[in-house]
Amino acid sequence: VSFNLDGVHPHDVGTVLDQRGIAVRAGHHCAMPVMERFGVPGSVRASFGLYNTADEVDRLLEGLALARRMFG
Amino acid sequence: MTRVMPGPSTAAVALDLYQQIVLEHSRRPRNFRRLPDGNREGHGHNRLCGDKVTVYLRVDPDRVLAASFEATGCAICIASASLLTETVTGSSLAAAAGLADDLLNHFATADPVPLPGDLAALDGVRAYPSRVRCATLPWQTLRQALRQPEAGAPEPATTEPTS
Repeated sequence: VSFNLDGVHPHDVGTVLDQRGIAVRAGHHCAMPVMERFGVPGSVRASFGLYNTADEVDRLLEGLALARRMFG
Repeated sequence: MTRVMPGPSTAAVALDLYQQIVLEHSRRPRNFRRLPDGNREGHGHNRLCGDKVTVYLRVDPDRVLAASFEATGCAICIASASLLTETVTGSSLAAAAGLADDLLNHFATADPVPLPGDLAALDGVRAYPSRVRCATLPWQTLRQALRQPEAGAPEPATTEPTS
């Protein structure tokens, strides 16, 4: 799932999530033309695997809410 | 449900990196504009993360009369550039160049001297090696602007080591 929080840079979102034990990819993912096409500096990308738990999804969402409070 | 790996409390999250001064400057950057009567200009680009910074200066022969910037980047990059414009405005060209050297050295050495004033808020970035270049890009760009005798379009400054 590739997304952005409005007004928050993907690397800042990534760092806040990292601090909560959630690993995401953040940045242009070496796909600069796509980022240019959508007019964004980059995106946050969360990937889910068989081993992920519902608790981790909750923590992801909490982290996003926190990032929005910190930088919004 | 029990947590496998409890995260730090909300209050403690990354506050060493995102100190209040940094957050405040990133939300409300100072001197975020083109300088219409500027006579020096530096362009910086970190190709690894995509951050871009332009530093505008108006200088008389030996003093920075005004400084401003435009940038796309993360909170650290924006805050660092905002603090930069506040710090160098009114200083001599030599002092501004010296401050850029000091700041870049600060992030490149194991046992650095403290950064002056509000710039000390950037110190927390040292603990995040992947974010150091976010803080240093504006200062590389300032260096480039100070080296240009006239406004022009030289190669953008980068955060990569130059040979």
